[in-house]
Amino acid sequence: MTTPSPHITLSLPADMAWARLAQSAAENGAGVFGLPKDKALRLTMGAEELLLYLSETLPGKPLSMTVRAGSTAVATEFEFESSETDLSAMNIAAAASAPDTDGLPGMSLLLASGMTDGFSVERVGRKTRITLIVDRDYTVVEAPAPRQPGDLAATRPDTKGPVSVAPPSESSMILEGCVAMQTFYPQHLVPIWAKTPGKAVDMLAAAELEILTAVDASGALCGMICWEKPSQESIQFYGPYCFTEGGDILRLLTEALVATTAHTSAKMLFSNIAAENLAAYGFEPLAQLTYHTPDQPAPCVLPVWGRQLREDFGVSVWAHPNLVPFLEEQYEAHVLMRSIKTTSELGERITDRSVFAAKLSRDLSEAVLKPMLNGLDNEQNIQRHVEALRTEGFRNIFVTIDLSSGWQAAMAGALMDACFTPALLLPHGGQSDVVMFQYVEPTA
Amino acid sequence: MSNLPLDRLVPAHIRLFEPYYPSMPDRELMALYGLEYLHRLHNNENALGPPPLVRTRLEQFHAGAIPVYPNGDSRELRQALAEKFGKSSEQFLVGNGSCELISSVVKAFCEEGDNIVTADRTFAVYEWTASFSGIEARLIPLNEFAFDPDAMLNAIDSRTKVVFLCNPNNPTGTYWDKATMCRFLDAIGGEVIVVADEAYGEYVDREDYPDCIEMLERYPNLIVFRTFSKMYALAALRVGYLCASEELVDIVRRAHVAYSVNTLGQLAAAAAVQDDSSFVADTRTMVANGRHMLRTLFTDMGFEHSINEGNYAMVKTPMSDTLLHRKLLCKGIMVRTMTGFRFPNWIRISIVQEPVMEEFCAAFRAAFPNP
Ligand SMILES: Cc1ncc(COP(=O)(O)O)c(C=O)c1O
Repeated sequence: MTTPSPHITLSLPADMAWARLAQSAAENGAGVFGLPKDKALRLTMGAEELLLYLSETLPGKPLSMTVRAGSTAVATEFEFESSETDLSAMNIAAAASAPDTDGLPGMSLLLASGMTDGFSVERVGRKTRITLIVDRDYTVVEAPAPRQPGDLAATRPDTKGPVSVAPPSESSMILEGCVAMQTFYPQHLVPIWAKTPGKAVDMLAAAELEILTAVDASGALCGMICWEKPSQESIQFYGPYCFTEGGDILRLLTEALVATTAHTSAKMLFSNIAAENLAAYGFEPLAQLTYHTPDQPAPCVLPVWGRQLREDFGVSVWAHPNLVPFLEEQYEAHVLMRSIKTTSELGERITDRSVFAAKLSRDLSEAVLKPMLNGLDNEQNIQRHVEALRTEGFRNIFVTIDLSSGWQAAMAGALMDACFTPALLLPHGGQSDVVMFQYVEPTA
Repeated sequence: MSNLPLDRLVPAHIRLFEPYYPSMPDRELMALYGLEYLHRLHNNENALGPPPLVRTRLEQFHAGAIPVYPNGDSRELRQALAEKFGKSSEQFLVGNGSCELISSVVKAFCEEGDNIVTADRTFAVYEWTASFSGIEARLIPLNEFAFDPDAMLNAIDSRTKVVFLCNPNNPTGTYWDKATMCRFLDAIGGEVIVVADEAYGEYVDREDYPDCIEMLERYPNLIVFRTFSKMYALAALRVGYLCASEELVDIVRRAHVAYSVNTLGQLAAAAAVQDDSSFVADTRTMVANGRHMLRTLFTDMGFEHSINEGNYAMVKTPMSDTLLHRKLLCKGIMVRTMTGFRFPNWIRISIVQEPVMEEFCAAFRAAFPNP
């Protein structure tokens, strides 16, 4: 029930005979919706590759192709009704055809995604949607040399007089905040959009991002906290970031965040790049994620903090027997009442081939997979994904499962066999609790 | 998802309204948590109740009366109220809890473009009723935990129809004394309807607390709300009432559903009015003792708190209110989290009998092993 963004839509069969039409729609749309030439070309080529892939795997299938103007990017989407048999080709690791005569592997969706900034395969009702995203052109505001946490305090000026917390009054404040975040915090604790403040301003205008700023009596920006809504029931925040000394900025910002988000549909508030220790502000430590940043050889550790916004009276969840010890430990640590129902194979019919949805962010070197269809080949398919993603250079590989679903919960066994470890339990992170598994390279 | 054209069918103020989710039934909760008892300290109920005369009358009630509709305008109850307060029975309107009356008042006076004025941190149903009726709710920040008369006066404009005052305030327990109330009503000067919600009025034992029913002659724009859910412990039966001039009652009645109060509720409420036992005094003593225990505990632990009038107390802790709620629930104690009511990390505790308060204090202390 939201207002649709500006877009154009074509109906066409999956057939390369229409390649020119698809290309010109993408190119023309990208131009009209504001992408510069080189970026429009990337979107056009991505769309062409995708059509090629679909025409080989689902020849003749009726498709709808949409070119859409987003607030910070232009997207091309292909959507089609999909039966279970079609779907297995939508695994990003699946190859369009058997290795060809030269012994080269067939093209995969993962390769088709290569020239875009964001890529996802997801199921929307009975349809499958593949989305290619190319970001608009934003000026990069270079980060000053990263500082060590030890010398940060000395460089922060004093807070002057009483502090008030409010949304930014103008976009120059966002620019100032983005620079300050990079000045006072190491890169891995700063959201990626801080380098392109123009993008942050656009996200804010489109309500994809919310920001609260702390300003002191002299009008100086003392701190900032930002958040997004990855799902109906959860809010992910960045910060709180503090740019001045004194004035209890962190408390003011976290309390304002909680107060602002409390009476919304969100049940869970969490952050995986919280810049400070949030124990004193009513947040619970949920996990420690090992994360590879593009510019650092050694992984960093990102603490995840969270709290629920509503009273949690308990629910029942599904779990694979191998995951039960992890869940029991988590539920006890966070005082969550759950009745755990273990999944077991009841001999029900399962399709041969499983399917995973995928969301790729190349600039974060991050791939997040989500099971779409249960299959007999779960474990092999997971392994195929890991191999393909690692070959493409992805270093942070996650799979999330929702414990409201028995078959998703059952996948935990195959995941754990394929070197994934449960890294984070997010209460009410989806329909019910969500467990995020992280791929951990086996030590030799 | 159906294909209903909800965009067209549903007004924006309903689409955007975040619904209220009540907690699950006690029995289900107890089963899930493996509890043998559950102390309900989350709804400001009176655990001592109901008053003795109510028990007697309910025991005499015959199931044979159930096929018959209740009296459509609670006549006998209104007569009992009229007698008690020295008013005419036409000055009372009875509702299915005072929540229903909030809705009737908003419907009776407000149309599109109008607004109501109340506080930001008070009983949320005034704000919610306005919002889902498409009426703007102007929420004036509390000042030092109390309604701010000057800021409220400043917020009133030509489209303000109703001001809702919660006296004493739920959840902070603060109240306006007679002088403040009169100064406020004098300043408004009859231009706007003022609702004084005295849901917890019977708990206040203070010389300077204004009994607004006594002020109705002087202020014809005043409407007083009371309920049988709190002091009189009839929450399950859902009975509340308002008292105002006959002229105003006649207006609100037009927007009010007749027959909304059931026979048992009418009967029990009339018995509560007529009960002359020490029930009210006993309840006040119980609450005074409980307040003292909680004040001592919170002061001792160094936690900010707000304990004033009413059968409830509030405390802020370094833990999230939702985690503390879960910790207490594991021990069979249910409290209200206040983050959703603009008090981040505060909880509200209803005050009940001493042994239960002792259990609460022990469970609360245990939740903070290293304060
Ligand atoms: C201030 C206030 N007014 C009104 C009510 C509603 O009471 P009822 O609808 O049960 O009469 C409550 C209940 O919590 C309350 O706290």
